[in-house]
Amino acid sequence: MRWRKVFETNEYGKIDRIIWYDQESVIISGQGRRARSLRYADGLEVWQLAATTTNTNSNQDTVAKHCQVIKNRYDPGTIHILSDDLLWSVSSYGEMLWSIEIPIKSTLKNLFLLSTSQYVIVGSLDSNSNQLQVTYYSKQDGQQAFSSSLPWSFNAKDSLNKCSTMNNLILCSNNEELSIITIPTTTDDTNVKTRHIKASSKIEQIRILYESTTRSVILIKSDNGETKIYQFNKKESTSEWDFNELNIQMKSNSFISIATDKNLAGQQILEASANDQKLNFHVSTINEQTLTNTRSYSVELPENMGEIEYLAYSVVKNTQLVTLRMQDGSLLVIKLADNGAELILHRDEALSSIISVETFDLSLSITQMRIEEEFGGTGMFSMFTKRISSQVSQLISFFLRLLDLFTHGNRNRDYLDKQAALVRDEFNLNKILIVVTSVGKVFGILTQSGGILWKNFFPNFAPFEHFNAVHVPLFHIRSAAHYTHEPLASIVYRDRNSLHDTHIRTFNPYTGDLENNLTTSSLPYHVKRVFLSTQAVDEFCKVLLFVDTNNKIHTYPSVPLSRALSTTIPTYIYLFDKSEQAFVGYYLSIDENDQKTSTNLKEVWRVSFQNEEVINIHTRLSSDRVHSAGIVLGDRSVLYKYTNPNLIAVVTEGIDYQKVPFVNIYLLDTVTGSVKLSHTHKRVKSPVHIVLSENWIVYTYYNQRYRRYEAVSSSLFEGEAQYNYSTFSSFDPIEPVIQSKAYILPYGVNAIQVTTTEKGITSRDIIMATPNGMLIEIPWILFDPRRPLDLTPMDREEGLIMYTPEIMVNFESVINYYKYVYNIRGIHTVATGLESTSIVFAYGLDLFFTRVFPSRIFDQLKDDFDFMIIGWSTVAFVVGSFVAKRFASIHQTKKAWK
Amino acid sequence: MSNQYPTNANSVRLTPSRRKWFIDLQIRKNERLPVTTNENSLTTTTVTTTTQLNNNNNNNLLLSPIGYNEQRVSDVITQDDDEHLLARRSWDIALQPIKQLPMNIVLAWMAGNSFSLMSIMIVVMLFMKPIQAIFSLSSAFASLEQEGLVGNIWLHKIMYFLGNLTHLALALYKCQSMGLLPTYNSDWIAFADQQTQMETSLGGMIYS
Repeated sequence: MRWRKVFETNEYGKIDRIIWYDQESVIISGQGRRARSLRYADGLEVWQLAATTTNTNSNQDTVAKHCQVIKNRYDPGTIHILSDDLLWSVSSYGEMLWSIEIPIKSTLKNLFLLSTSQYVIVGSLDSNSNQLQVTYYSKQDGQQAFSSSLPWSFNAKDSLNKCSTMNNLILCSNNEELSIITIPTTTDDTNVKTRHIKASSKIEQIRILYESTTRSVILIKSDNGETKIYQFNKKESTSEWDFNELNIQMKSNSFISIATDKNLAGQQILEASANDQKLNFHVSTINEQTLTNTRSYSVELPENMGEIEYLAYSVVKNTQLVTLRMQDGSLLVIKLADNGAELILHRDEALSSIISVETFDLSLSITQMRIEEEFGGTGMFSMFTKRISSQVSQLISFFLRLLDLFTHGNRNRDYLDKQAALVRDEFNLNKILIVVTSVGKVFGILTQSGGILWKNFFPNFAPFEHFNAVHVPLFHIRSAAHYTHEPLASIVYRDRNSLHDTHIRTFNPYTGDLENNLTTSSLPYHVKRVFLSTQAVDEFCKVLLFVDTNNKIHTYPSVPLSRALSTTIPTYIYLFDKSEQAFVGYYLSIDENDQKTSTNLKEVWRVSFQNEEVINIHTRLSSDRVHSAGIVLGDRSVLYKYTNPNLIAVVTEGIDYQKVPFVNIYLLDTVTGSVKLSHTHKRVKSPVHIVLSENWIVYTYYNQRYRRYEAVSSSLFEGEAQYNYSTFSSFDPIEPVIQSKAYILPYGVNAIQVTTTEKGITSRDIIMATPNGMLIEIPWILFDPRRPLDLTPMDREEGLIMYTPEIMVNFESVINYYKYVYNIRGIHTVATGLESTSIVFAYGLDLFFTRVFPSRIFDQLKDDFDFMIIGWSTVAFVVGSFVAKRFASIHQTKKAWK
Repeated sequence: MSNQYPTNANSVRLTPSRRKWFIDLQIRKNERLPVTTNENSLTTTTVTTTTQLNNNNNNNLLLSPIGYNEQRVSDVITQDDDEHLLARRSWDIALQPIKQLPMNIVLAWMAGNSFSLMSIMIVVMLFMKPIQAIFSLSSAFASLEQEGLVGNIWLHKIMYFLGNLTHLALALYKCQSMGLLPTYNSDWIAFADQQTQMETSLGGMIYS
């Protein structure tokens, strides 16, 4: 990859259209409000122009903005942009030619933008009179020349979806008919002509394949799969067009792209279709009305990539190149040559749309397994025989390995290396990441190299919606702790075509092989929510629990609920209903002898929100461990933590009676439905990023009044005494003491997460992804809500730092150094076998993986630890002591003789 | 307990007779041969016997080597006096730890409550000395028994033991003031087990 340019995450980064030139391309983004030019050679932004807008009420952009961008065919260096009521023109040199604002009228909506050699034509729909008002503006200075109107039978929404423009034509599909409306281009010619093309069934799509001043090709796709291609030719010295159908036999799933080349007489038309793991191409030359020189190519793909989503065909210096985007997000570049097609580039662009991440430990090596087995026995004699037998087998395998080394040498070294990469290391630092992307491709990534181990594409994949993001449940069905059984992971997703169907796919995270016994695509109920059982059932496998729309709970695979859930500890289930804006808590009672596989839920509590909308729910990480029950204060007394594992954080948003926007944060106990903490922030904007761990919560938001990002940290304490030191129940009458402090962040926040360690002894660090590409590691003690305003010796004894509102970020705490990662959407942290070490995986547009040491490396030797010096000095000391002993005895003897 | 044989001047004066023989190096002519060595002794326990006549002085000088004296010093110790001394000495040993206590208090106070090499060494010493002394209790009084102390010295031993206990108490107090004793809840919090959960909860947002 030569260069890359990351655009803004806000609306100005959304690309509306790219216009390609020879040396550079002009990119229109932000609903036609930004134009910029990138040079191909080095990716430099040559110029950027912003539309001059006078209307400042841009906050009220609840109405979807509409934007049209065209390149003037008669003057290729000029681009006309219509953004709602703003019409402006830029030249490809970065010069703003003119900019005008079309008078706003609520009934008038600007829809179409056309251009001729003299005029820029705007077609606006007057919804009162159902007339299309066509206004002509001068191409040179944007002066309004004249206007006319014509009857119009579509409404505004239909016109946008079903119509497209081409030169001076507006093409609109109306069920089985395509209307071609010719807009006159000069002042003297005013009659509007409408012609029709009949199709066999309802027209689904019109695509313009090729457009020039004299010639155009369009594609009409009907919903019965029939595709027709029409060629338009301009009549001499008029503004009218002739059209004729090109007879191409096309498959229903094929894509068409057209390329022109100066060396070629006409255009080349490429038809591409995907068929399992094969791509088929047909290239023909358009000759007046027929196609000639048809040639077929086919290329074998390395994996199943689904259908074609985008196709572009180009001829560069006599090389025919096909660029494709597949359904699984892959970017393919295929070279068509005389000796056949060749895949020259394949990139998994799906990796930039990761939505769920889980980590699995690697499998134990054979020797580690033997050790597990060796100490697995119970009886004295069996343990003894096991030890002997395993040690004998170790000896045998050692000799076999030696023999292998001598006979084969390094021949199967690669294979061994690959095997070694899949084996757990001594400290369990290397893992395998299972990532699910929003397009339905699942990857297994090795953490030590970042290499993709396997990938699976599920074609009819659709993720679940989770507030304004998407979400795919990914579960550890069987963890890697049971060395005799392979681990299993499950994903649950909906069908792309029928959203009521739920699919379950279970696979081995090491190989990606599907486990067919635990894979289904037909559940007899409509799923409301899925979660993992708390107890393993058969062969250490956990089962999936589904809540259906009748509030019944089911297990998959079907096992009695009494085996999937604990019968001694009551289970509570909470569900958030978005339409009612209410949390409902259910009680699930299971009898030990009950063999039912499904049961009804009993509602026990309900929390509903009024005048505020829940925008996010945040739960703590399942791997969250609390090591100590309290904090030791300076006077050596204990402040006990309120560690309620049933708490969830709820973020709501709303506007109060003074029209001030606010954000509320609640900590909700999901067993009792009681609110343990509530904070209100006025003049604050979401997104709110939350970390909930142990007994504290840290969240960030944007403060609109001071125009800065802020973080609030709160801790919950039980107080100086513990209510019950051995058990915790949400029904205990504990009123947690809350301490809070707010801090100012130096950067914005894209994502936030806390480090995880195995036992939770190591102090916590907050990992924060910033919009400028940094991942910052901030110790939690900087966010500690107990930071005092004036430091007493007692506080100093406790190790508290004096409160300062600003959180200072050292550049040393940027854990990705200069490898900036952009548009991070989530951070995943996992514990390793070493207590000091936590794994951090940040994903978004880029992926970043590292290990962090929140309390420094206290259980490892330093990197610069010199084993040689220690070893040799030990040897020297041993030798020296023997020598000294000898000398001493000689000396003693001599002394005795004296 | 280390100085089982007191060497101060007072006790030397009190036990002048504990010699079996002596060599007189100061030989002068025409000197009176029988010499009582300690003229300043308060109790004349020396009995001088003349085995030679005065007129044999010259012969005697020639016969005997330098430092030889014909005189004999008797080794008669009065029993009751010895017992008195032993009692004093045993009380000395028994009360010795208590006598050392003020010095140790000063030492402990000087060490301060902060953690440093010195203060830790002093605390260790405060613990080690009395413990060692208690374990070597019998050896502390062993010399007395060797010297033929008859009768009971258990009271002395108890006193000695109690004295060492005061040292231990001082060491403990020192630890307490330094914060080394696990007397607070906070010292045991790391060993507390995790609370067991009485409920589990599952759930989330309904998929629409």
